[in-house]
Formats: sequence, structure tokens, C-alpha cells
Amino acid sequence: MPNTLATAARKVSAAKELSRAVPKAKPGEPALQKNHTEIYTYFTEIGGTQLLLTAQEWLRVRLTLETAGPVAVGTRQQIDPVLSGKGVLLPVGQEVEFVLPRGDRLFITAASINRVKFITEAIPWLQAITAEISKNASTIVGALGSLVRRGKPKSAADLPPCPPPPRRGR
Amino acid sequence: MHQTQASDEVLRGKDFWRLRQQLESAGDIFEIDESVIALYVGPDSDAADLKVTYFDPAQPNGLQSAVISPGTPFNGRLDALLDQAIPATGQKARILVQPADIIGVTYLRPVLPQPAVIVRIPTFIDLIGVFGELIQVPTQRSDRQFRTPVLTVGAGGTGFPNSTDIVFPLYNRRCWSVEVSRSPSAVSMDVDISAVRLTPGANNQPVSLGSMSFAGISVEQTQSLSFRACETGLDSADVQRPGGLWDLLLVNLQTTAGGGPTPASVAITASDREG
Repeated sequence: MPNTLATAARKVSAAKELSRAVPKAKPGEPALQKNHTEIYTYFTEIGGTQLLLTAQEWLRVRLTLETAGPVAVGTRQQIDPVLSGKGVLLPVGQEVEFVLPRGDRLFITAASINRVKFITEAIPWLQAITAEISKNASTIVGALGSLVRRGKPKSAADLPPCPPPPRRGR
Repeated sequence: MHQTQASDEVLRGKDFWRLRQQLESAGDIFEIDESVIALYVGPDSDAADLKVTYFDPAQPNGLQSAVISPGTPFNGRLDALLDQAIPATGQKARILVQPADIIGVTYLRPVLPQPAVIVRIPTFIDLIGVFGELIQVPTQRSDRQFRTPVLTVGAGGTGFPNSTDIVFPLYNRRCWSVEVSRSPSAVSMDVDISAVRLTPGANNQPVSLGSMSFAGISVEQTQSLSFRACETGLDSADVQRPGGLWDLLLVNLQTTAGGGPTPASVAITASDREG
């Protein structure tokens, strides 16, 4: 089957990628970039689980806890209390990276005010590859299904004769 | 109970917060509402030993404590969990800090009459909490210095009219010196230096460390005495000098009865280093 992951990636031409990444600008405005990187500082709230972000597309999220914590993040809707183990604790001063598929949500909880360096970076090529894979996968499944339907015997007469039974020796 | 502003420092983007405040009583407790990865005694602290109490669910009452002192920090994450309550008290699980030393901000000599003038040098707490990476912790406090303006000794007042006390916070300093200068005066003056180790609920008797005498002559005079914690025995004037660590240093200036007032100034320096 020629549709491998590599060929799927090659199929995504640069022009197509650019048109996907950069939306059409309004007349008189410079072209906007859609898949931009966001960098900011997030200050945690005391108690409860807060929604940190919803991934509108595939995202690489990098978090660095700049204070002593404890701060936990996770994809479940309720991860508090912070030390409950429902999320993962962010280490102090070390960057932690997550890749979030489109539609996933990231939650955060803390028991005091903390400072978290927050960087999100869109991964448009991963979005494209995923789309291609899912399209190709459906094609493959459809092709296999038709092969199976075409090769299915209609009656017992279409089947090949059974082999003779083995002889029993004395 | 005093609130600290540690969360403000988080919002300002700092890697540490500092609590430097004058102690008002021996029972001062400070609430910290931010977690830290290390706590240590700051350079300007008079109080040497600080007791840190924090939430520990493994303990029967939910509380655990540690004492930090200069050169002995607490290295490890201490959590302030403001969304949880301490089972024993029902209060929010903050970090609490209080002086482990007995703070004698109202110390009075147990003998009467009291000196007419008592100059109390304020006692400060200096505590540093680290949010980010701990680089280096100082092992000693910076030297504590105090210089009086020109005091008029023997100017009268209630109590012992020709006597003035200076109460200086020592709290485990290992070396200290007292320098007394006196302008030309016909009045003679005696200086007695003593120290106190405080015990709970008592104004303990001071122990004399040494003395200086200023004769009534018309030239300026300066004398000094210095002490070390490890020094014991007799000094050159055959005065017994008890070594050790003390809480308060008392410098008493006293003119001869009926001699009248005389100007004098005092400089005190205390250090954590004996060398």
C-alpha cells in the first residue's frame, strides 16, 4: 500500500500548508498568522480546578513553574485538591511539555498563588498528518471491505473440493 | 498574628520574599500564605532561632515544626495549602513562623529602682523564603551596629535618676564590643556591661561581664571592651568574664550621685563571628 505516513506527509504541500496556516486578511490589513505561538505568565488561583486552555488545534504546551507550588495540571475536569494525584505536579523551575490533540482541554489547580510560564505552539503539520491518516485509514478500510465482499463465495459449489481424509496406518 | 505579603512578591515576579519586621512581643507569629522551597534567617535578623510550623497530615494534630537559625536553613518544600484546613485548629494550612528565642522587648532589671532612662534597641526578625532555585544561603548574620547620639547621663527622671540603661538584642551573637566616649566633664561616670539569658515569664538577673570608669577630667575619653562567647575566666583587670551565648546586652551608664549630668555616646557592635 503506497499511502504510508511519509507519503502522507509529503502530500501536504507548502502552499497548502501556508494557506491553511494563514487566514485571509481583511482588505487593507496585513496578513494574519493563524498558528501563532503564545507566551505569557499564568497566576494560579487558590483552590478549585481551572480550565487552562482548550486546544483548537494540535498544540505543544510548555509549562514552567517559577514558584514553589504545588501546582498540578491534567486533562480531567476535576484535579483538585492539588496533592490528590488526579493531575501531575509541575516541578519547580523545569520546563514540562505536553502535546494536546485538537479538542483536548488542560486543567490546572493550586492551593496558593503561583507563577507559571506558559508557552503554546501550534503544530499544523501534525494536524495535517492526522487528517491525512484518518482519510487514508478510511480509504484502506473501505478497500479492504470491498475486497472481502468481492471474494465472498456465493454457494457451496463455488468452494474448492475438500482434501481427502488422512489414512490411518496399522 | 501578622500577615506577610509573600503572594505580592509572586505577582511581582520575584524568586524570594523577605519578612523584616520589628518584633513587638515574645508571642509574635507570622503567617505565610505561599509555599517555599527553602527558608532561612536573613542577614539583618536579631532573633537567631526561628520556629517554623507547617501542615503535615502524617502527624496526629496535623502540624510539624522545625527550628532554623543562621547557617541552618530549612531546605525542602514547605506547602501553604490554603484550600485545606488543619484538623486540630480548623485554620487554613499556612506556614507559621515565630521566634524560638525569648524576645525581651520589655525587659526590666529585677532590682529597684529602675534606671531613669532606658534605651531599648528594637529587635527585628529577618526571614527569607525562596520560591525558585536556592543559590546560596548565608551562614552568618551581618554585624549589628548601634550608635547612640550624645546621651545626657544623669539628667534625672523617674527611677534611679543618675542611671541610664541601653538594652541591646544579642540573641546568640558570638562576639560583641562596647565603646563609650565621653566629652570633657568634671563628673565621673561608671559603665557596667552585663548580659541576660532570658527564661519564660521572668526578667532574669543580669550577669556582669565587665566595667569601665571615667574620671572627671577635662579631656575627651574613650574606652572599649569586647567579649567572645568562648572566652571565660579573668580578664586583665581580674574581672570574671562568663562566656557563652546571651539574649540581651545591658550597658549601664551611671554618674556619681549628686554629680550632675554628663554627655556620653555609646557604640555597640555584635557579630556572629568570633575571629
